[in-house]
Amino acid sequence: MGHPLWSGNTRVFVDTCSLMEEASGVFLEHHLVPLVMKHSTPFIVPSSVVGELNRLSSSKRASTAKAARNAKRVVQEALDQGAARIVGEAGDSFPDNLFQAVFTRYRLKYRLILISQDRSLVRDILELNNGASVDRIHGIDAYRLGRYGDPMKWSIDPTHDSGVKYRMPNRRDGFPSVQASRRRNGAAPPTRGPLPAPFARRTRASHLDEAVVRATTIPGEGDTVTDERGRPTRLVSKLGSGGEGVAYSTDRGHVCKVYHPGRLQRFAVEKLRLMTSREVRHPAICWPVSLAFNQAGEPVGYLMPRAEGRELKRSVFIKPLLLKSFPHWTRRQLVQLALSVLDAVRYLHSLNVLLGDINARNILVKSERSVFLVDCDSYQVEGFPCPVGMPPYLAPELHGRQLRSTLRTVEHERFAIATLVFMLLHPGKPPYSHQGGEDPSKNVRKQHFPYPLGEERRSEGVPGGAWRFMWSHLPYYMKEAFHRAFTDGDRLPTEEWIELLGRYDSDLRKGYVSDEAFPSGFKTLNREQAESQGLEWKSCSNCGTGFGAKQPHHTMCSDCAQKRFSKQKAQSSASSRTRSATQSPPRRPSQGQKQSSTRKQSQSNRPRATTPRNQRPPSPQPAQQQGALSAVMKFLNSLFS
Amino acid sequence: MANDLVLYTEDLIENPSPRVPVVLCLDTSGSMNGDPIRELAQGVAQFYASVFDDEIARYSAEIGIVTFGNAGVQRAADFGPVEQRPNVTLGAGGATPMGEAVCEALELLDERKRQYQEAGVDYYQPWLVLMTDGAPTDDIAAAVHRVGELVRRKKLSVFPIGIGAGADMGTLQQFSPGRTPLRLQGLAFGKFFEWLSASVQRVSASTPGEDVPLDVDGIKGWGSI
Repeated sequence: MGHPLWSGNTRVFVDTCSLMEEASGVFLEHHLVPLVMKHSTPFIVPSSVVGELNRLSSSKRASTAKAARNAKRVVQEALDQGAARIVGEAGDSFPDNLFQAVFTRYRLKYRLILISQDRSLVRDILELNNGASVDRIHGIDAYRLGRYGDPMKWSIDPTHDSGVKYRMPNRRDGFPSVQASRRRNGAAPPTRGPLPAPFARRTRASHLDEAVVRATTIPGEGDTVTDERGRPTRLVSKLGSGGEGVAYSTDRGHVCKVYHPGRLQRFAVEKLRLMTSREVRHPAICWPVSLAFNQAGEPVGYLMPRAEGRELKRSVFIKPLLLKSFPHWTRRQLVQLALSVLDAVRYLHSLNVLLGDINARNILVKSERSVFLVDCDSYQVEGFPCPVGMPPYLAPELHGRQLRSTLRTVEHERFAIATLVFMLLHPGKPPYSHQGGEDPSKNVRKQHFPYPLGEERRSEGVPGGAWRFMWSHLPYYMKEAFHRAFTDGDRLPTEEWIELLGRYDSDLRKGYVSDEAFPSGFKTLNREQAESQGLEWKSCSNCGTGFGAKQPHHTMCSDCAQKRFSKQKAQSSASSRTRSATQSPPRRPSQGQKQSSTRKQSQSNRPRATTPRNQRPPSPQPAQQQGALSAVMKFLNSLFS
Repeated sequence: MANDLVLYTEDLIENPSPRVPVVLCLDTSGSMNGDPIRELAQGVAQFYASVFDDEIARYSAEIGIVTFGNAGVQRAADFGPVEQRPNVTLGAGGATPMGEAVCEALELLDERKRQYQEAGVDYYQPWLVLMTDGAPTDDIAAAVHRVGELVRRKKLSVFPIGIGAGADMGTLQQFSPGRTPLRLQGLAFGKFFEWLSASVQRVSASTPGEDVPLDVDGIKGWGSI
């Protein structure tokens, strides 16, 4: 963007909530006022903010009134100094709309800065940095007040709840005064280290020296291993064991993986040496930090950060366990979980590392924002392949291939990522699962993705259960992305999934789409939406709620129809089960029976899972709002020209 | 009763885990009377318990039981969620209609596969565990043929187990083209079922194209060839 942060071309706006902070006076005095005075650009307090402060000063709540009076006082002081000015008039529209309008209008002319504590306002304002031609924007920044009045910089971050996060500003992007106060207060260390040098990209797998690395003793519980620097680490207790080795907790907080005798091969030691040569510090990645040696100095395993939480496969992917571990989760947490995982994946990709074996047992979930990737020693790094892969995440073209000696490509990785994202949003259900399917590997190779997409792609063989409701509630752009990946073979890059999920998160936050984790029915249209699609609005014969009839003979809403359908299925299964063992079983109806024939039998017809063309609910702009805005704009224009 | 049906169907459609259906085909003929049948029943209960204990197996493994001997061929337990451990009472008596029992077990598996397919539930190829302490008293030719076909087409895995000295290993070998039948050491049902539940867990971790890597060392602990 080219412009220095502070210059004659900068305009700073301060919001009510920031002024209401207890330390607002400190902030103004130490940080903002010196800067604006230096550049002769008084910061702007909209008159509607003043109006709000006036109102809040006479609030019944003592603390609010006190904060508002304090805010007014500091504003007055700044005005007296010439460090601030009030802009606008009484009767101006609500400050949030005003900031939006003003920032949109002036982003091409000035460097704009908003001081606010309000996450959603900040997010909307920072999003104005996109749209319009990016090189003509002078740049919009936002800050909030920290507890002691220090400014903290906001930035967009899709992995966060609100879409934005804040941090201490660094030397380049903030207030010069911050460095001094940081030295006073002491800054917290960053949780993420600087990005290490990426690994080299290889197209062919290295020759792997499979000679076994013999160790005279294999350490166990209570024994001590040393790391590459010779530091002793005691193995405290056994955490678990697998095919390759045993994992122990240590007295230094790390986890130590000790290979079973005969399972550690030379190439694996080389690979670990390569991996530990880079300091990969990401809170979600349990990257090997050092080889571990026994008392004789022989390599026996490696040390890594400790993971927390439960495997996806033992929590999120099994409904009763999901409800037990995370009872309050809604769709938002599922989306955020996906973003947390993808953030770590993207990080690894930026180092030219491919995970290879992305699966539900290698990802531990502590919360939707705290995940841990484990079994990192199996990642593909330079010429060292990832020797394992599991259906349903394994790309179809890799099935049957010798994974130990094949380097994967990013295309293979993208298949796994698409599968993982689908399974997170339909907890545990693989995308290629369908009626008439078999084991996960065969399903993937068959490449039948059974979910519908608008009118163009009907559903065929979609599995029974809530999965198709979950699908129906997805925004159109998500469904489209899944079809691209699973029907067209056009596998999306990680960044695109991150963008789409960020958008989904935002739509969930705004209430445009259903937030239920386990919806019990198809996405329902309201009357206006239904009739605008030519559906007849009826009253359900079972429960009485209004619904849009997709077929003229439908008499029940989709929820009731669905319940009737499952009940009938249960009854027909029961009658075939209570046969005595000696009779030969009656031939069940043909395997190829699709849902349509069931529909003929039952009075309640199960509605098809089609997606309404109109995804967004109408959001009308009240006429008065428009009028007030334009009045404010006119006035502000006169001030800024 | 109605509740069970709803739970039954709901489990099929709500639980997305790929299933591993295991049918135990158990000899309950007269010769099993006394300690053998008691130990066997205990072993089966332990099997359910250890499958239940592992979260992944709990939602993947499905257990069905067909007995032969007491009251002919009986479906002692139908496939369903492991949580609803059926109260399996095994009584000994009668002859050994093994052929009929194996056919019945295959029917049971077939039905379950059809239910998986209708519901759109993923499943791995089923396992047939055949346990007997003697020789069959009916014609096993049809059963052997069917089993052979399925094993050849990789649609079935068979684990034939002989109980005690009187077990006819030759018959068991007929049912097991690819795998040598094992003779149980004494009445070490517990250990066998422990091994079986561990193997069930491994199935979902296998990479495509590979055979299920069963822990043969584990078997040596309880069986002898």
